[in-house]
Formats: sequence, C-alpha cells, structure tokens
Amino acid sequence: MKNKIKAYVDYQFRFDHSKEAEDKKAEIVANLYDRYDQLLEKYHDEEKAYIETIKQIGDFNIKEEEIPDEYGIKPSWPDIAMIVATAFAVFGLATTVFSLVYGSIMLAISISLYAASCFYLFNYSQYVKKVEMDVVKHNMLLKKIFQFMKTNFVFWSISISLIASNFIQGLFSLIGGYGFMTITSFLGSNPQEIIYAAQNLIVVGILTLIILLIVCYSYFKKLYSKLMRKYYYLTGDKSLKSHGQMAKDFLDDDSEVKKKTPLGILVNRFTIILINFITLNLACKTTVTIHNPYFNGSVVNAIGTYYLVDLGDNTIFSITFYILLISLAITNLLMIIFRKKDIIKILAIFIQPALLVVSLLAIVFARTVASSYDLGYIFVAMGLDIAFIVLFIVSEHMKKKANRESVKENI
Amino acid sequence: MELTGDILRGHTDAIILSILSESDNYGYQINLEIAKRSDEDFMLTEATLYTTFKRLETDELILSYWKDGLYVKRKYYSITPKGREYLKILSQQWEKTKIIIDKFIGEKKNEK
Repeated sequence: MKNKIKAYVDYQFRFDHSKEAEDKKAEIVANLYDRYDQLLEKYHDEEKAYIETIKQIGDFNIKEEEIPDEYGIKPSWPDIAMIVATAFAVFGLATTVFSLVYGSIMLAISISLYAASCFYLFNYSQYVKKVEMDVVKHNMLLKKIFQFMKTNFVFWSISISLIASNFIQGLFSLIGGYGFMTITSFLGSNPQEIIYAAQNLIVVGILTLIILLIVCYSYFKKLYSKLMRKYYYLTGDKSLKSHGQMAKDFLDDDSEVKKKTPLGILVNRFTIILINFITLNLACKTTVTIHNPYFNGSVVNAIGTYYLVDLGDNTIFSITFYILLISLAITNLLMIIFRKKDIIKILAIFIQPALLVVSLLAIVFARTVASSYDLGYIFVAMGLDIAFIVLFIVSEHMKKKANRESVKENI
Repeated sequence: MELTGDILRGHTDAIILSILSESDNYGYQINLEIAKRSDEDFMLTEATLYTTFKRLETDELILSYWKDGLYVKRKYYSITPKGREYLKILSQQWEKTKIIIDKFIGEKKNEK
C-alpha cells in the first residue's frame, strides 16, 4: 500500500520538472507514510487508511496539462505550410551540398511557402484586429509568423551563400583567365596544369563562400532585427521565443540560470557543425577535383559538382567520405542526445577528430594520381575543426565554472 | 469545526513557528502536535504544510535539513533567530488583536 502512496504522489507531480521536485516528493511521501501507519492502527483496514491518507494531501494547485492560448485558434493551412517551409529550409541546405539544382528548388519552395503563410497570417491578423477587435488572437497570429523566422533565416542564408558561391565559381571557370580552367583550355592540357587550375578554383570557392556567408548572414540578421522591431510595435511583446528555443528550453527543463561567457557565445555546437560541414565540403571538393574524369581523358563538366554519390573510378575515396559523413553525423547526434552525460559528450568530441584523422590516412594511402600538396586544404580545415572542438571543451568548462560560482553567490 | 479551521489557517505561520521554537521537528510530527493541542479538531493538509514551510524557508524564518529516520529520510525544520523575532512580533500582534476582538464579541464585551 505504501508503494501506492508513493505512486500517487509521483503522479500528482508528474509535470513538475524542477530540481526541488524530488525533495518535495520525498518529504511529502515520508509524512504520508507516518499518517498511513497511524490510520492503519486506528482503522485496521488498509483500503480505508489509504484513502484517508490520500485525502490528507490537499490541493497543491497542480495544473493538469495546461493548454496554451495559441490553441484557441483553429489550425489552418499556414500552420502546416510554416512547418513544411522550415523543413525544406533545413533539408534544402543538406540537399544543396549534393545537388545545387535540387537544393535551389527546395530553397525556392521553402521561401514561397513561408511568404504565402506570412501573407495569409498577417492579413488575417489585421482582419481580426479591425473586425473582431480581438487583440489576443491578433497577437497569436503574428507570433506564428515570427516563431519560425529565425530558423528559416539562418538556413536560407547558408543555402543562398552556397548556391551563389557555386555560381561565382562557375563564372570563373567560364571566363577563364590565367590559372583558371576553361572549357577549351583543359583539352590537351597536361594533368599538372589541370590540378593547378582546379586548385585556383578551390581557393576562389572557399573565399567566395566565406564572403557570401558573411554578407548573407549580416543581411538576414539586419532584416530579422528590423522585423522584430515591427513585431514589437504591432504586439508589444518583447519576449518572443522561436520554436527552436522553446524546444531547447523544454529539453533543458532546469530552472537554473545559465550564464553565457563570450567564448560560449562564439563557440557552440552550431559552430562545430558548421565547421564540420565546411571541412567536409572542402575535403570532398579537393578529392573530387583530384580524381575527376579529366585524367581518364573523358570530358565531363565536373567543376562545381560533388562526386559523393559516384562510386565509379575511385571507390576508396567515395567510401572514405561516406564513412566520414556518417561518422560526423553520428558523433554530432551523440553530442546532442547525450549532452547531459559528460563522458559520452567527451567521447563524442574525441571520436570526431580521430575519425577525421583516420579518414585522412585512408585518403593518403589510397592516393595514386595527384601530388601530396593538394591535401593542404584538408589539413587546414581539419586543424580548424579540431581547434574549434578544443575551444568547445574549454567554453563548456568555463560555463560550468561560471554556473558553479553563480550558485555559490546565490547561497 | 469549519469556521475555527478557517480562522486557524490564517495563523498557520504562528502555529508552526511556535512549535518549532520548542524543538526541531518534521512535517508529520508538527501536524500531530497541532492535532493534539487542538483536541483533534484541526490538522493541516500536506499542501498547506508544504507551502507554509516553503514560504517560511524563503523568508529565512526557518531552516531545513535531512535526517535518516527508521525507514525513510525525513526533512527536519528548525527556527532561525530571525524566525524567533518574527514569532515575538506575531504574538504581540495576536495580543492586540485579541483585545480588539474581545471588545466586540469576547467576554470583555459581556462584562461591560
């Protein structure tokens, strides 16, 4: 019967995720056990003693599955369209790495869906305000627009900069010039010249990607701040949380205030994933260029296309990159899922560079055609990756230290 | 008695602090003490007890610590010097209130 009492208390506080919940439950259960023992002595009836004990709990004002206000509005197509637009923004970025064409189509669909939903929601919100004079509903509708905005803007800016950088590379290879490969110049050239030209293109690729990333990101950031000001002007709400942030809060679900260190803001999981993404991109590109079909004498427009799915003439490269890609994905996933368990997190952090090194060695041993200096780019990118992982560990450590100190201050 | 319960509930802080001023104690024992002194008329629910403890602890009027019991761990509470001060104020306030209420409905009104 005592287990039943404990189960009842646990159930009553099932929505309480705070740190003190365990202590609270333990204290209440201990008191109720005493009460139960006393009542059992009095009634000699377990069932009656149990019911009387439960009555003793009283009213803790526990809210049963509170339904947020936003569910007061009947869902309509923009709700679905918003989610699809965000999904396309995220997966579109991944697709852009493999195929520019499909990536661009997904980006276009994402932007169109989002724009259409915004148009509908904004007009509806104005109608609600003017005709129904319901400001709460008006604010809720506007909130729906802005909750997806941040995520979409981030992914769009990366996708757009990737597509644009590839476009610029294409332009360079078309215009040609000293050191750049043109459609006519590579015919009859010797392999060394082709490698040289390909390397120049890679440098252009990296530079344009970095510059475009900065430009696109700044543009979207500026646009976002402008729109957020507009949102505040329209609703007076200063505390808007994106869907991503809400999900993060839900997963974190501890009430302790996390202090942000400057290093922590700069180096986070997102930066690591971004750096990994660029590393992969560079590594793939370099290798693809080295073992492209020009060496076999066949003429294919290969620049700007990633051969990740081509298992044709040099299988070992492709397989190595598949392993690299999957391992990076798995380790990143591990870091996210088990981020509260330090050992697994640290393991994931160390496995990642180890895998990179193993992959690199595999490439080195498998090389038969190109010369070794081509690997410089991979080394640089990997160095950056490892440096960021180290910084990540340091920043995590600093964050913990700052938290511990703030806890001490509070005590 | 419903009405007595309502009046007493308004003085939960004073009741709990006065019991703790005698010795450190834990939730159920405090509740038993209340029942005993009120001739089994009055007993606080866990919810009232817990929220009162929480409030008093936040105001630094009481302290808590865990102690191993016979079968389970118990959370003991002890009164702080600030709590004792506050209890004195409450008891002075009660004396004054008693005098005023007596003038309307108490024995002293009947004496007049």
